[in-house]
Amino acid sequence: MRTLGVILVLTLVLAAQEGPVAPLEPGCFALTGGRVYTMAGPSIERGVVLMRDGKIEQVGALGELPVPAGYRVVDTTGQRVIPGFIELHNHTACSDLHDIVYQVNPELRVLDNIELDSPEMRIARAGGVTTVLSIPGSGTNMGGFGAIVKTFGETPKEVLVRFPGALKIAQAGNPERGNGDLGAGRIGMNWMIRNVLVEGRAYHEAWCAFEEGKTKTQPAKDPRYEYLRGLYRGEYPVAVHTQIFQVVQSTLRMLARDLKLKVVIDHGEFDGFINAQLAIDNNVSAACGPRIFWLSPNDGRFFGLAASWYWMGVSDDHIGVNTDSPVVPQEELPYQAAMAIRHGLPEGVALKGLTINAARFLCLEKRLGSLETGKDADLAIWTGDPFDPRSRVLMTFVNGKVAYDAARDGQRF
Amino acid sequence: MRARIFMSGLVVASMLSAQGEAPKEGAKAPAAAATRPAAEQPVAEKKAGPRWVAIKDATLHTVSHGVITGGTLLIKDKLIHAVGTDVTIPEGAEIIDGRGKHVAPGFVAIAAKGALGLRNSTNKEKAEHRFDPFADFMQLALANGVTTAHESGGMADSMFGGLFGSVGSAFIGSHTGQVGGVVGKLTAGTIEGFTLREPAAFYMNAPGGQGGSARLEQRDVFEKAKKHRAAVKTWLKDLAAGKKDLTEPKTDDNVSALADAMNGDVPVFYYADNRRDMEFGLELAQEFGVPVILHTAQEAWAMAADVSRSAAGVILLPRGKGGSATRPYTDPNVDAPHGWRIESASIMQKTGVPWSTMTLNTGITTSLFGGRDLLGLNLEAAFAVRGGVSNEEALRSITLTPAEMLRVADRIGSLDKGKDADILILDREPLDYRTFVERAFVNGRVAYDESVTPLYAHIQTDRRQPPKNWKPWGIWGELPEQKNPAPLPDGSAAPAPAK
Repeated sequence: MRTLGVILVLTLVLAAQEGPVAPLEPGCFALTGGRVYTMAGPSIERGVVLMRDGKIEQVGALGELPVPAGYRVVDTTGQRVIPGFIELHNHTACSDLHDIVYQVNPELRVLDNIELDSPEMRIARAGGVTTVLSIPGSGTNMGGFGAIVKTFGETPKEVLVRFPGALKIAQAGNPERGNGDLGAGRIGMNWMIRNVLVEGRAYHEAWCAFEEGKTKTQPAKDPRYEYLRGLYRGEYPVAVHTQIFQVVQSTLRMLARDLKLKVVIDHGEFDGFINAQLAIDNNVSAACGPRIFWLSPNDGRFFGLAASWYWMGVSDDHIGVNTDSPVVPQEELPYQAAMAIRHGLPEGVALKGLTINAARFLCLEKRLGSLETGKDADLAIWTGDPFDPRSRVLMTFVNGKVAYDAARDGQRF
Repeated sequence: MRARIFMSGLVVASMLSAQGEAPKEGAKAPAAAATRPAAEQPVAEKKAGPRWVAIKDATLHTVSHGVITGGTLLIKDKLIHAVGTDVTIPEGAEIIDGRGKHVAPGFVAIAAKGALGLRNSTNKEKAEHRFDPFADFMQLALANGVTTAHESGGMADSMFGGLFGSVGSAFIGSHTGQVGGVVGKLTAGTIEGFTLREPAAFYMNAPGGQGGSARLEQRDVFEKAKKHRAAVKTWLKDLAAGKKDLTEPKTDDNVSALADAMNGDVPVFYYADNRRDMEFGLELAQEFGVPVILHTAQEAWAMAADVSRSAAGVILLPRGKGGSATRPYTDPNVDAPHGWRIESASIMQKTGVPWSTMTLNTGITTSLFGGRDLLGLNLEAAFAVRGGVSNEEALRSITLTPAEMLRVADRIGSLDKGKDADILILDREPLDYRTFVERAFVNGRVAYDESVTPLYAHIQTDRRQPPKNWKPWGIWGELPEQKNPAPLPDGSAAPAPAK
């Protein structure tokens, strides 16, 4: 019986190989033979990734997972298949950096500035980057709401992953330039941030009371606070430009501990990692960059910033790396991670940081960040270790479409 | 920090002075010598036969003749004595176990600013009189493999600032040119053997956006140099013929240097990163017979044939200028190939144009360009591999090729018998992003030792725990535990922190 089964399977396989070639179905791809980093378990030495209609259909081992007829097969033998990298701090997917109206601007958004297929994004794809959180700049304490966008797509709908992506808060380090409504000190800046968030919370609570039928009076709509409601519902995070010990401390105390917002330390630099315990206690994740290492004034030694957060006890699920593109070009996100590794971060943590961790920081772990059935088909085929500057991307898929093909487009990076 | 590295410099120096002794079985350097920098050592103490150092069973990246696995490199005093697999190690030699290690020639930073620790930018004094052998920059650069630097002038950036000052160009010069600069060695701890070549070269900026008059002025310098060269020739001929009442032709230093360049005696660095500027430079180079080296030649790939015909080589950033200056490699508004391309180096290689790698920030910075300054010279070269060249060709672009461009290849740039012992012992292959320098020899002397200078020794791959003596909160003291969080501004009580 078993023999018969084997023969039957063999016959079917042979029939499939020898029969007339099935016409290719649009939107169906099979990547076969490469080392697959699913980021949802151990990597598969020789794997198969099936993509269909923009989603990952199935991931398995070569020989175990058959390739259905009609799939365009890409032989990835000797190569690596890695989920598309996710940037947590980008300023180039939208055509303007930001507008500076008030010291805090929760009513502003980058949504209307998203640029499809911009030159920066074209190169970003060639670096294996498929999703970016594009946020306003840090010239004010609250630049407005950012958008999460794919680096490739033919329509705005395809490109936009979520709006609001995150609220951009810059606690210090740049907003001082405008001299602020209350001066350029941290006391005044923190007051401004906290004040508008507390107002937003009151607005949210008033609306919740109305929606739950606890009150009959409908509160007035106020666009200034409308997007802040999602923060209090936990739908999206606050991406905080924060650096140095004192500022990161106030980020963690004010935004995470007191206001209970979902906080991602973006741009975590210098000695901010000293606050690691506070971050752990409040379930806050830390992304590091663009400055990725520092020469400690304490002892004249070089320390990697991501490694320092990690050594201080922040788990490997809560470490990330960012570029602040264009400060570091978007396509160099993996190189940023390489510099983090060079300065002590374990490679596995760095890979999580660019994929599944970043997805989780953005509340998108169900859709992005790993190669699992049903997730967006965002991935890149690499010639080798993605952190080695000598490796390059051969193909990038975004939403199951060929977003970059070095053989077709020429090598862009 | 400075003080600490300065101290460590002293430690290195003292260690070196100990090594300066003849290798005697069980012999120790006198205590007094161990506390004095090598430069202050009385000469008499050194006369005890040659000092031999053998690096055994290592992977030798010779650059000039391939990679030798399981090879031995023998240093005799200041020079490389032998390289190969069948090297006889003399008795009494210091033997370094090279198993698992990689040995490469010290990197040559062809566009540098600050690595030599020059304290004065006027170029009026000799570089060896104005450099600081204990400069922290020098230790940092050595720790990342740079043993020779070409500095054309200008002050060093500060380590935490001056971010954009040096981007793209190490020379802030003029379109009429200037002679100067120095090719110096990072001889940390001593001033001995510092200068390789001074003045180093003739520098000239492309007229760029300065317009037609600047172009005319630049051409005028070339015309003057041509005339001067002819006048000198005639004068020498007349002198040889015994004619009387001759006056030696005189001109200014720059014109005379450019005339020397026309004889092939002085390298000419022409700063031009775009097509328009390069075309003009190459036109002059062709017309006046001056083989220029195009500096920061971002768009050289787009006119490779012209470059190959008229230039002696290019210095480029394999990764392009990057950052906000990234130019897409096809801009629909420009009707000719232009911009940056990752394959730049590979196109130069295929066209047969010598190319050297420079870094975006030619100084040393821990600021935003981390890994794009002199601390990442080998990583910048690694990006050329991404663009299609081989590991060997990329390594050549930061060793032998820049040495040739700077006309010091007889001294440095490869692992060959008779060359200066400027050597790196690396824990991984030279272009790996995780590579650290374990020891850097300059003129046969240990100028940097990872275990002595506290910069990187604590970093290990895949370290799960912090280094033992890590004190991240040193200057603030330990953080207090936050038990009673302050109430919110609206008066409500803040929750206790979650455990």
